[in-house]
Amino acid sequence: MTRRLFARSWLVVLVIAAWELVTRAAQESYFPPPSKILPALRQLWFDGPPSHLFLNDTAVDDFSASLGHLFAGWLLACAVGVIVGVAIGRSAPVREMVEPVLEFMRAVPTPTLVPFFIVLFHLSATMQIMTIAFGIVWPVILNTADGVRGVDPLQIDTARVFGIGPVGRLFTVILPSAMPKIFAGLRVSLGFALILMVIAELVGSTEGLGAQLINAEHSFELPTLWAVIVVLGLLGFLFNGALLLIERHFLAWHTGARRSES
Amino acid sequence: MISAVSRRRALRGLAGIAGAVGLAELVSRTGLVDQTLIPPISVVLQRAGGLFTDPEFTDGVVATLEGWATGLLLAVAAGVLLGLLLGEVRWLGTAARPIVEFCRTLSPVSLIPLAIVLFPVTFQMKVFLTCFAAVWPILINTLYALRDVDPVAKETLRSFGFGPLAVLWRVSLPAAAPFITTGIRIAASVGLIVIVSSELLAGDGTGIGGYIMTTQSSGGHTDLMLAAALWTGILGMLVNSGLVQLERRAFRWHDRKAAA
Amino acid sequence: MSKPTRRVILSSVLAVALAASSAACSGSSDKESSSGSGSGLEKTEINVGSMPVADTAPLQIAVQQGLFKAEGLDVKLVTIAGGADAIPKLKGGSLDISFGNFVSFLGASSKKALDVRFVAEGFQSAAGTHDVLVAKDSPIRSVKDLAGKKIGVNTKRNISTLLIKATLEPSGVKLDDDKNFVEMPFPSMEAALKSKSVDAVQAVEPFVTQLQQSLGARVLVDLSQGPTASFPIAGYATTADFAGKNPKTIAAFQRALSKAQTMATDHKVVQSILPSYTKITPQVAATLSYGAYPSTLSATRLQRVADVMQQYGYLSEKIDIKTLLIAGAS
Repeated sequence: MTRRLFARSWLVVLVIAAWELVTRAAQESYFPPPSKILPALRQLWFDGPPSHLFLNDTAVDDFSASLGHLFAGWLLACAVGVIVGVAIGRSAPVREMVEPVLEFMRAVPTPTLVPFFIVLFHLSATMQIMTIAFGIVWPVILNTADGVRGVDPLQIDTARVFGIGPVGRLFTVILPSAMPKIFAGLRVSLGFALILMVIAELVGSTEGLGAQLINAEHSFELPTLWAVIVVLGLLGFLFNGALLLIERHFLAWHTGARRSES
Repeated sequence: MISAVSRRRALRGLAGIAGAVGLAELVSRTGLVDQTLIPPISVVLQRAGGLFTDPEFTDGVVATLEGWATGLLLAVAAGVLLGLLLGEVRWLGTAARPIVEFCRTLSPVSLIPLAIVLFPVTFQMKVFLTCFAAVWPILINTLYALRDVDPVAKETLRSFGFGPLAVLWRVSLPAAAPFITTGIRIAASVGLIVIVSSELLAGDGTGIGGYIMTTQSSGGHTDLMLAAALWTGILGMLVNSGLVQLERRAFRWHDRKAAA
Repeated sequence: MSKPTRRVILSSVLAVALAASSAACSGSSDKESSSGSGSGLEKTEINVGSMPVADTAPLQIAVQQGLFKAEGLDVKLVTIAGGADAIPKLKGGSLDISFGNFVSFLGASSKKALDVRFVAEGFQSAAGTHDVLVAKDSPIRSVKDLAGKKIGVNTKRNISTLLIKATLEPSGVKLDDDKNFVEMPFPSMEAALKSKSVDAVQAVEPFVTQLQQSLGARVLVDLSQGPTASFPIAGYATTADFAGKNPKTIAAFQRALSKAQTMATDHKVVQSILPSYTKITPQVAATLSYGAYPSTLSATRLQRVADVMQQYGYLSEKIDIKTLLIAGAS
């Protein structure tokens, strides 16, 4: 147990140590050493009572706002993305009609569309959720369609022979087979969602992680800026780990099945 | 030269586009959306046509493409190589995992001030941010694809006496290649978005983002801004379909295995 | 085509592309530091940050009318998105001198983010250049009604919020930097006012005129009056490092700019040059309000900025502005 912990963390410790040494030597105001970043982090969000996990009021406001938007947007995008991805993957005519429009929408940079969303949804939680959802639905669709297309036709035919209808085939053959790629899409989109959450909060928000980031940047509180960046990275790390655990649970049979295919 | 299949595909695609444009125009004309704030799509298309002949804009397009291509190529090299290294050398992969997962979700936008201080030349700053954003989808997809490689095929080859590098080259990479390419496609679109965003938020006026920046800061020319965004979308679309064509040609053998 | 051949082709294409891209990358590093010519200047080619706004008209005049060339300077103008962007660029070296607002520069200096030295003043507010506007049908009639409301500004903790706080506080309205101000780019203010996402906005030209013309927005209060009348808004700054190494270059810059600032006091000159570097049309340019373009660097004027900043909590301690000025302008 401790051996596994060590195997996973020795590089991290090494990197942090090196970071501290390098930044101390460089003495560059825009790159404060971790020893300065931690106190700034504490002051920003973590000087509350122990009963609240040390979170203070600002932390509660910021985190609930940002994470609320994030998950609403992500879940929306995943639902829509998987549905559309399956539809596209299985039906060539639909795919060919929708693909150009899809590709186009995907390629438009979200910051250029933020004013557009502001007009549609005004400066509100809806705007931020929609910005996030709009930005991340594409990798989900893409990966889902990819996964659905790559299903072994032998398995589909077998199911058909056994008299399983199209809906049954969808849930018992196609979706499970496409799961790895779908999950990859979900993981990638969660990463983007975190990024878009920050971008969506750059304009017109008074609270949230993105708002704190801009605040720190404009008041030149550089250790605080880094503190927010570090927390953003940690959040991504945690979410990814959580998704991985879920994925492992759902896909345990998949890698096992592959191995026994001989 | 154009087969019936491609023609049908093109027609269907055009029908889809026409439908979308028509819908957008309808939404605009029926006053669902305030016309003074968001110009109707016909106006935007007009402006977009005008931009095509505007040298200021076309220079910007070239500048953006240069930075994008550079950043993307660097990301492909780094992403695939790192993916191979971390995927095949188990103990390194495990150790590096937390760092990869941490860095992956760092928003390039939040790194902008740091990138500016690190890279005095704006072109290098843009390329760095683009590469940073693009490397992760490629890396992740490489790792996933390598993990998904048929273990039987690998073991078979190894039992024939082939070393690990040969197994990599002959089995893992070809099997993983299609999924890696999907990752590159995602990275390409992410890269374009990041470079235009960094030009918009912190550039020096060059590139498409720089063009949007100049039009924005002196009086809302929403129609010009949307037109520039439109062109960016078209650009991304062209590159993506180009990559898809390349993919299809290079991996014809793989597609044949799976049903369309 | 057989599989191995295909792979070889793909990988060699990649290799060639990589080589080409690294060549392109080094080829695009266009920041050369040219050695001084016979005029005795340490550097003849400098990168100056600018924004496409009315404040920087003199800079454009100096470039277009050859005033910099006459001093032996080759000024390359680089567009920046906002005043706060100048600071990391000055620090990183992609800009030698930059335009920016004084609040950003002084804030950066006090937080030790940048060792700032002021080269010249650029722009001073005047009637109509910095206004707080509300929607035509807004129930807000006086500044007292702004208590507890949300005001849209271009950048928080900046000249906009400072001016608003300084104008409102004497009337008893105290605003919180985090809760009462919402950050948004100028072009989004029209939509924000219309949709009532904010109760008021603070705008500069040409947006002040634009909001009035397209929305019928009402000017609630002009921020250039009373304690904040004729307030120094923005100017040109550099790093202590650059100033120390290139004193003659800076002096040349100051001389040329000062002449251009004097020329800009005739608003017709500014009007005619605006369309050349912004998307403001000549018709719109004729209707805008214009501020003042000081041609000297005044310690008294700038000390006022530092003091007001300290008064409203933007600076934690007093700054002696004289230590940050590069003398010799006029």
